[in-house]
Amino acid sequence: MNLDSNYTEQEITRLYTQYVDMVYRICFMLLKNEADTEDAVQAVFIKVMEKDITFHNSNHEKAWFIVTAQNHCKNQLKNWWQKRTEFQPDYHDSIHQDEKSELLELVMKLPEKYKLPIYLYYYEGYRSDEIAQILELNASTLRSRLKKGRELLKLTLGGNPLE
Amino acid sequence: MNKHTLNETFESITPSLDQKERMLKNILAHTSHTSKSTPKETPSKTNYRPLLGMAAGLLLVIGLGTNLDFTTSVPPQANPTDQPVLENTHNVGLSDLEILTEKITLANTATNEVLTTLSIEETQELLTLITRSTLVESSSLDITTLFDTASPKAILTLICTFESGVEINLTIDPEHSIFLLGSNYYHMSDALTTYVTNLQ
Repeated sequence: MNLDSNYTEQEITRLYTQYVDMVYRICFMLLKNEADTEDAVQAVFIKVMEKDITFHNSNHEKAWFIVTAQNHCKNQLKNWWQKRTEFQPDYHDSIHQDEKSELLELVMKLPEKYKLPIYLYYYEGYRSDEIAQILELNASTLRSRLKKGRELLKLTLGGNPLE
Repeated sequence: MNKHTLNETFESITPSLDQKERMLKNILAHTSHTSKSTPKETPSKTNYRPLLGMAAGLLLVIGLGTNLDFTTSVPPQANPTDQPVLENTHNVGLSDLEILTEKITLANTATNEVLTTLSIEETQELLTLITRSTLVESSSLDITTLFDTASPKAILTLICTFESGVEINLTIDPEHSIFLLGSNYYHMSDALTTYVTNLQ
């Protein structure tokens, strides 16, 4: 698939429809508020057009959105105000009322380096070696982050292990 | 907790239909401005996000009214570069905030009475509250236009009115490309008023 920067509305809409939820989740987990997340999601999709991205296949396409969303959010988090933003579930309309759970808060309060691996492993269904490749991490580092993330969620909740 | 519960949690982080439509509309609007032959770095709202912090960081004076509403007594100045905006002005830049060693003065601008001073932590908390407050209007000025046309050295006063009725007088420096409008202003109502009440 070769997509140039002259994307048609149809092409952009296809990418958007396919990846908006994933990009939104990644951005929201990192930025912790809707307004910044919306801006970040838009910026990610605009980058597709501006960067003249050539996707080799659907896996590459999806991985690009994951990495770009993560990198964009990391850049946003470099400023002092963003760093101090705390997750406040009451302010987020996109979080369904009955799901404003303790678990969501726990996930949101996970250290940044554990969030994305946990999300990609459990929700997106990537294998740990695939996540390591996408995030450009050492495989053992990635596994230890998954383990630590699991422990944090489990220990905080006092529940059963995920696996 | 099990995997199913965790996945449900992730699933709950989903943009609403309105949000999806709004974002797509903005993205598609961008396509009409983007072409391969003329790559254009059209700033998205996101690009202004760091500047939002700077905007808050450059808060100089907050005027307090007698009923805890913020009021301004700072008239627009004909030649603002020639004189300080207010006696109790303290200029705080973004980079300064990280290493701030002084304090911001909170004063009644009508009387110039100093009400209190804010510590670093208090300042940052206050600025955070300000930037989260719902901005109803801001002097009826288009900020982008304002900075395009302003003298590079001019110091401008911006009056922000929030949903709670709180009115904040920000004195800002356009040299730092302050940007105060944006979707970041939302959902805070009276938090700022409460905070100021507690301060007193």
